[in-house]
Amino acid sequence: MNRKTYMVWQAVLTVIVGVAVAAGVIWDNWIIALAAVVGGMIVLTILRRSTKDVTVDERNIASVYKAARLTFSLGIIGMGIAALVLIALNRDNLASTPASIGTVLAYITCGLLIINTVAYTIYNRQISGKE
Amino acid sequence: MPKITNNIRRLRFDHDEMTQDELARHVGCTRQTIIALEQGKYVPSIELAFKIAKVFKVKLDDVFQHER
Repeated sequence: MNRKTYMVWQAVLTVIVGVAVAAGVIWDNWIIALAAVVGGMIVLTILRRSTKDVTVDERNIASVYKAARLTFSLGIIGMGIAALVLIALNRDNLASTPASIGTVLAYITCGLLIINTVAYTIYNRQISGKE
Repeated sequence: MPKITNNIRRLRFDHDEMTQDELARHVGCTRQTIIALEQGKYVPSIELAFKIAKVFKVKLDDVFQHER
């Protein structure tokens, strides 16, 4: 299989998985959605391994890194602001649903920042020179 | 701002008009990466730069130049 065929299969599989996940949500059956996602990942891995051409190289990895960094930054800022607004607007009743959502978002934001800091520290140590 | 330029396009033509796809296969990257390199939109890793120089049997300096 060459790269073009792989890309076509990747697009087809993405549509199939998307439809299956939507069907799972509509029918309130998470097993369908989960099976579709896991199945799609397995089939894609098999297809990628049977592809002779290079499907991912350093430029793709650099793009993925930049996209992930932007997504993380925007996500953290967005969630942080949403958490602050939800808690601030409902500070008289912190047991209310919006305030609870704000609290959960605040914890997720802090958790992600901690994971990011730990991961950065580990990777930074791995590629640091020793004096 | 420092800029890295390259002679990949010329070197390909000097080597029996090697196609972008052939060069990509030789160095283990995609054709899109070779296109991006030739257009100066992407600066390769040291490893990829050495691989490209090796394919053309020239020194790294003959492929890539650092402009100030």
